[in-house]
This record gives sequence, structure tokens and C-alpha cells, in this order.
Amino acid sequence: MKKFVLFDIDFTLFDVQTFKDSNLKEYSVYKEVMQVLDETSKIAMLGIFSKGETEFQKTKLEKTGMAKFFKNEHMHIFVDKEANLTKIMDKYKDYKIFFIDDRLDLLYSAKKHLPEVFTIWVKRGWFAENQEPIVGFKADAEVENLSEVVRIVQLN
Amino acid sequence: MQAVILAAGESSRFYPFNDLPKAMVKIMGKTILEYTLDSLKNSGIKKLIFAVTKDNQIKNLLGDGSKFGLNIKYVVQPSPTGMGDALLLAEKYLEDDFFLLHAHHVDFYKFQKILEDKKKENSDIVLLAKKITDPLCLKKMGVLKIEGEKVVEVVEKPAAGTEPSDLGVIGIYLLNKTFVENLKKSPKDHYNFEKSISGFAKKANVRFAVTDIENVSLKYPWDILSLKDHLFKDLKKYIASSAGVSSSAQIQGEVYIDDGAKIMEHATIKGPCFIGKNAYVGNNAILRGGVDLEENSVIGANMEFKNTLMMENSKVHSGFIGDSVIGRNCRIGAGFNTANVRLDRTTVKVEVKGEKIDTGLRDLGMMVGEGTHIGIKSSSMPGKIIGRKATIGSNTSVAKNVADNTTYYTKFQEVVTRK
Repeated sequence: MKKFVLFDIDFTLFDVQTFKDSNLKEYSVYKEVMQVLDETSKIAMLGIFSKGETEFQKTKLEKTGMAKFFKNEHMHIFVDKEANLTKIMDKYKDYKIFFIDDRLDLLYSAKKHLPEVFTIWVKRGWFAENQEPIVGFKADAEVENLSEVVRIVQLN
Repeated sequence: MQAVILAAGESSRFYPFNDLPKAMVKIMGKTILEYTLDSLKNSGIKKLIFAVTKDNQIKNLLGDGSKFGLNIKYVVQPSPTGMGDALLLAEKYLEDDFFLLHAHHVDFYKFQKILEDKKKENSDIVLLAKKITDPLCLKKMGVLKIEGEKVVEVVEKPAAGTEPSDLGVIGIYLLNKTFVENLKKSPKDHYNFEKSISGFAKKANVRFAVTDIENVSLKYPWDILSLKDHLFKDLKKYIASSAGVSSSAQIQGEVYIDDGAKIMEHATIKGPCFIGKNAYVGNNAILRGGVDLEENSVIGANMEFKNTLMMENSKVHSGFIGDSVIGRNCRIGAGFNTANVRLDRTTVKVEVKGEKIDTGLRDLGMMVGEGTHIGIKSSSMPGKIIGRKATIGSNTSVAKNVADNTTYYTKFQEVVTRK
């Protein structure tokens, strides 16, 4: 089965804190991100599933050089990400989906809707710091950064 | 180049917000001090010497400066004994030429070149000055007496009609070690720094550089609003992905909504406006004219906020608050209203240390110290200061300043008669 990796943007790929500290001038990714995208793109198809205003989020992808890893038809950016979650999961249900996000509640919703989804929780940023445990749910993998993602996608 | 930064003053005129060093007040989620540090870094100045008070909250924030890419040393002024004393304490760390400034000079980088250029004109030390047209302002400042390009004397707070010029000293200086040697010989008093400049001018080349760049002072509590507006000029629209903004809320202009903030249904936010981390704006609330809500602050439903800064962890329910500064951990009940404009439309005067100060502002509400609680359906008259940890009873109109740890309320009498 072909593999499809869906990445969130903020706190997963994009370094929000550096952006804020620079008064919204410095667009940067976490240090491991470019290598991880490069290596993952050789073993799976890549997509974006993110919350926000489309133009603003796409600007982040372009200014950081990440846009080259994602085809336009696989970029899914919504003001209301939760409301579109099942639609996106269904779109890729014929693939082995790896869903990578800093929001545990979204990973939980995805798993409930499509149990085959492999969920990876990126534990950095505001959501991870403020996340209460979800009873009866644990992500399939929990990572502090994306370095392990290539190995996880390879092995699962 | 080094900079000596003054942060040990008593700031008594800054009451009720002088429980912390005034540069520790947060605007747009960052202390004023951090803006100043950014400014110094942009100027290439990385060696800093801070004059701080004993409790040293600044040292707790900044440490040795390494996490900010700076090298910071501290000297402790056990009591607020003036700029000269601070400089003498810092002497052991001084190398040669250095800048001297207050911790709230967030725009230092704009003035650096003006001072350095003047220094190159065979000057020993350089004072930054500004042309002041308002005589009311001049009588509160150090004013330069000059001869041609040279400073002859600094006259502190000259009486009206005796001003030696219209050049008021702004607290940024380019000094050298020779000046500090001279300062050592001055008699010890609170104004020995200013007097020493006048003495030094007799034997050295003391110059002045005039600037017309806006320079926001931070002397009185209402000055926080001017500094907020000044920093708001750089505010850009940003809504954190972790913020929850109702689809029926209206966000207009440059509005920054930080992580975890919640904007409820039908709220209207007009920029410039900053909504801090985990802050909450209730249903139908309207924020306009430059509002800054710091971290964890709450505005209840149907509240109107205009040109106001509310510090961390404070909560207000409903009513109108305009042109005001609310300290940390305050609670303000439902139906509270500030009067922010006098009925006669003249400028608002505020009582500070027993003296009526004309703020020059037509619009000014209240200034509330940390930890104060205000009951429902109360109000405040323009320019009133409510101290720290005060309690204002319900249905009370605050018509005069309220001291710290005071309960202030209007006494009602119940009248029940048989018809």
C-alpha cells in the first residue's frame, strides 16, 4: 500500500516562536525539517493539512522553501480544520495515512473516524504544552521533533 | 561600545505601577525592557551594565544576558540615590566611551547615530536634546544653557520665564570615563549627575545633539498608553493557529491574537489591538482605539474597551472602560464605567504625590494598581488612581484617588416606609 504523510504547519514544520519573536519578519522551520521532508518524500507522498488563512499558510511554505515538497492538490488549509478532518481522511483512505500534528485532539478524531490512520503527535508548542490527557487514547507515536518521522514511516 | 542602563529609580510618580521596575511592564506580551534590549542589539551594543534595585527582578529576567546574545553586568543601588550614584557604581565595569540611558528607551537605535556623529565633532561628551515648545513641559525637565554648539550648563526644572533655552534634555547620553572621574569629585546628592555635567562643561567640550524624532517618556502611569501606541505602530495582523476566533467575530485591521486566546461570538475587534496568550473576549464585546489585553486577561460579554492596557490575569465583566491602565490580577464587576472625558472638555488633571499634574490629555480614564477588586455598578471619574490591593464597594463612584490596601465605598441607607 502506498504511503501518504499529512503534515500540519504551525509547531510541526514551521517555527512559530521564532516568527513571533522576530515581529513576524523571520520565516523559519525547525532545524530538522528540510532533511526530514527530503527523505520522507522519497518513501511516501506528502501533503499539508493545516489550520489558518490559505494565503498566509502558503506564504510560510514558500518563504521557508518547503513548498517544493508539496503538490498544490495536496495542500489542504482551512480556517476550521476540525470541520474538514473527516473529508481529508476519506480523501486519502486508499493510502496508508501518517497524520502528523501538534494537536492530540485532532489525532484522536482522525483515529476515531479511520482507525487505520497512523497518528504522530509532535509534542512542541502551545497545544502540546496545554494538552490534557485524552482518556483511552494515545497517539501511535509521540515525538519531540520530526527527526524520527522517516524511520516511523519506513517501519509502519 | 558599552551602555549603562538605569533601572533602579524609585519611580514614585509612576504609582500605582511602581511595585515593579517600570520597564518590567508588559506591552504586547513583552516587557518594555525587552524592547530596549532589542534596540541595543540592533545598534550593535552587546555589553550592558544595569543599575538595579536590591530585589533585582531584572536580573531574574535577563541573567547574564547570554540567552539574549548580550553580556550583562549588574550594580545594585540599595536605595534610589540618583543617576550619578548609579554611574559611579558602574565605573568598575566601564572601558571607555559609553551610552547612558533609561531602561524604557525602546527606540535607542534611532538616536545612536545622532550622538555618535556629534561625538566625532571633537566632543568629549554629548547630550541628546529636543526642542520643547510647551513651557509646562520645560519646567519639569533639565534644560540646556548653550553657547553656540557647546553646552554651558544644565538647568534642572527652571521656573517659568527663566528657561535658558527651549532645549530639553532627553535621558540618553554619550559619555566617557573622564566624565566619570569628574563626577567622583562632585558633592553627593540626588542631582550630582546633572550638576557634574555643568561642572564638566567648564573644562571640557560638552556638546548637544538635537533630535526631532518622537521620544516617549515613561514618567507617569498614563505614559504607558503613549508607549503602547508608539509600539503599536509596528503591530501586524496575526492570528495564532491555537487561537479560537468565532466565525461571527469581526476582526478589523492590525489585530494580533496570541496562542490560546478566545474571541467569542459577535465580538468586534478594531486594530491596532493585541490579545495576549489565553486571553478571553466575551460575546458582543467591542475593543477599539488601541487595546492591549495581556496574558490570561478576560473581558466579559457586552464590554466596551477603548485605548486601554489591561495587564496579566485581570478580569472585567461588562460596561465601558476607556483610556485606562489596569494592573495585574484585578477584578472588576459587571456594569463598571469609566468617565474618560471631563464634561467641560478641558484636559484631565491627575493628583500625583499631592500635586495636580495637567496631563495635557483630553481623554484619560483610570489607573488601577495590582490586585484591586471593584464591585458591580461602580464608576470612576477621569484621571483617578486606585492603588494596589484596594477594594471598591459596589455602586460607588470613585471621585478621588484611592490609596493601597484601602476599602472605598459609597454608604447607602435603606429607607423603607409604609405607603
